[in-house]
Amino acid sequence: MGTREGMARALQDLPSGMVRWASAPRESLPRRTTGVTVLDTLLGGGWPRGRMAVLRAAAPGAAGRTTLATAAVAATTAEGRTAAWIDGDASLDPASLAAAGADLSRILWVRGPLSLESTLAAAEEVLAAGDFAVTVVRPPEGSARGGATAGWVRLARGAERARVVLLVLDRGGTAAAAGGILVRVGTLQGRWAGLPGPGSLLVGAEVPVEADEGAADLRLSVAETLDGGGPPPAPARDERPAVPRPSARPVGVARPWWAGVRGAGSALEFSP
Amino acid sequence: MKPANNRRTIPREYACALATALPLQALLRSQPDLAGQPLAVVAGEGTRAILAHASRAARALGAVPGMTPSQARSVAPGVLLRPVAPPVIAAARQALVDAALAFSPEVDACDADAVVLDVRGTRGRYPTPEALGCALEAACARAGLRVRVGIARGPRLARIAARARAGVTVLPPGDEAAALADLPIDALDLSPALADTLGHLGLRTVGDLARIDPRGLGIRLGPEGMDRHRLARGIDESVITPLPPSESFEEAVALEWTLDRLDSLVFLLSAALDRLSARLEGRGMAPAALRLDLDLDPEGTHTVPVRPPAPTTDLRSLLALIRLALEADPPPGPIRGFTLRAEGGRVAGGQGHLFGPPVPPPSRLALLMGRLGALAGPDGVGAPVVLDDAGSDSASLAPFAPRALPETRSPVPPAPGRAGPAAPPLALRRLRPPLEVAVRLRAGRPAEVQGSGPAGPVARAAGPWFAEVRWWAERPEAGACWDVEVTGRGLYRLWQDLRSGRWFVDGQYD
Repeated sequence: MGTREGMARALQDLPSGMVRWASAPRESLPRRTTGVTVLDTLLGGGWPRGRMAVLRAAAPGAAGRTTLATAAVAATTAEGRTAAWIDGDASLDPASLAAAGADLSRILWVRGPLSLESTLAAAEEVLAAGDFAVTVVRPPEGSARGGATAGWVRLARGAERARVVLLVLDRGGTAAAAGGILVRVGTLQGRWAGLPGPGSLLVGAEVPVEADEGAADLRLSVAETLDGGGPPPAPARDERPAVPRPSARPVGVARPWWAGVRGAGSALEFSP
Repeated sequence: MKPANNRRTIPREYACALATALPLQALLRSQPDLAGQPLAVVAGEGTRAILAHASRAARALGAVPGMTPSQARSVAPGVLLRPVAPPVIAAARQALVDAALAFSPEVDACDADAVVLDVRGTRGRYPTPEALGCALEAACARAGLRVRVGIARGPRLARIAARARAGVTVLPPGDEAAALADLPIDALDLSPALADTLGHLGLRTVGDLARIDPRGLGIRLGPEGMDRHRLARGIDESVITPLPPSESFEEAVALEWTLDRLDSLVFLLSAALDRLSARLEGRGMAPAALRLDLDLDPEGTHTVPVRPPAPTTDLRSLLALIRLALEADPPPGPIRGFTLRAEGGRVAGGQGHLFGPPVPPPSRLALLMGRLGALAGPDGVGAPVVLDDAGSDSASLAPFAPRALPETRSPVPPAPGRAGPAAPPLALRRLRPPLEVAVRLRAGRPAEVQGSGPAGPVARAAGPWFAEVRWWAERPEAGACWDVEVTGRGLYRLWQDLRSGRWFVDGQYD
């Protein structure tokens, strides 16, 4: 077949619309486990290496992106590999990573708050290093609309060159326009134990997940320490705004926070 | 039997690096924008001030060393007259020593403008003395200094060779006398009395002195004359006293004007940082910490410390960190100079495993950490840590330094009855700072969340879990934690401050 004929045939085989010539077909890419069996099945083995995956909330009240990203990072670090989390809005909870079984010493956390440009620049640097099997990027608040489309395209290319997994926790912005696979999470439905009222306990949640390959309902649990295990994780507080303090000291003895507080509650008593 | 002493079997060889007009070079080194201009260095003050050094452009205009400033201005009105602060000269001198230390651990700062180093045993790396001399010259050039290099069998001969000619001068072993013969006799560093005596005797060159019969020379010329005679004949048995390696790396800049713009200061800092980094690199180190002392006008000092996440040679990241630090802690007034000090650190080495999962190599990781630190701040990059202390922020950062593992781990199956990969735990997306909301209660339990953020009726709530934060403090904080499902908005964690009664959204289960 001559060159001209070959080119003509190739042009005929092209689908309509924009095509990225340099990218390998998605089906041929190796996969890395998502950390969630159902999602692995849905995506044909896991997150594709060398391709950007955008996790988007499909509706108000939709949630689950952070959990999916946490599961991927936990699975990666459990294998002994390293992962990076570019935290544009300073929302990462290390306790959640630890509860998911992640090896925190193998996670590089770039803690915000950062501008969108700094977030993208940090992600580019991490991808250029090529040493992190999974990179999670969470853009800062307020970056949902427009802006930095070229930055997302560069990130997608960076993931392609480095052949690593890139997860973007998109807020409905322009990340998805840069290509890659799109996973949409629906509204999170809590699963509760006990009767409504005192004694009620959040034990998990369900969230519908939709990808180009199909849809599935993910069943999520609350951190294992609540499932009849030890005390709940300490309700950590970060950077609380200053609160006015009463002039008098509290009286009475405050019970340890883990003692008999499941719904029934005991209270600290303060004198005015 | 005496043990063999290898050093005695290797012929002696010394190199001298001489920085001519060191104060002038130090000034140009600290202020590169003066290069090419008619520039002269003024020494002394008041009526005793004279031109100590002059650049080629200044000489071309007629301003030469020895003139008073007024004389220089009268013959060359366009000449720039500058004093040079001692810290600037000291920094240049130390840079010369650092450049020499890259070639030999035995360096003697014999003169104010020269160093002599013992280069025995370097033949394996530099096949010829000329190659060594060129490498030393290049190393000094990278440090911002133009030097003359002399190489000979003795340190004093090496100094004479360096002072005699520009470039690299090698005195051939065994033929030093012939190489020195044509030099003026002043090259032997004579005292005024001896120079006068030799002048009266009609001795004009080093060769003239070398040809004199040494018998009776001591009586006529004294010990100094004998010493210079041996030197003229190429005999030099002196030794050097090596300096202890300095651990202080600093670069100073003193300005004739004041700076009040950050961009101008950063421009000068960039050059100083480049010089510092080059000196550290010659010692196999990288800047691990920096301290910037800004000299304020009219007086005072403002200190700004900078610590990169890891020792790094990436100047762009270091400069960005310095800029961030200056923006966070700006000087209270104009600046008339600065001293930049660096603490050297070694880029961590590491040995990976052949079959284990890859970890970032330390050198590349240090570079990455520096660049990320420039974007997120030096305290914004690291490995997450959960603090085992309910009384403080549960989240913190530790240095990111993953260990190399011998093999890739297999996923650990979950314990019986525990959740596994099919049901991963819900992650919390924290709100930093927590979002204050109003909560309407019913029977003491949240019924509705009001305000910005997740507003709406509460479908279900779990809690409260009480916590006392910083119980050891005089005024401990205390609060209650709730998990709530806001209809149509999702799952949230609420925090109620029991002292003030205020409610906050701590995070969202996402």
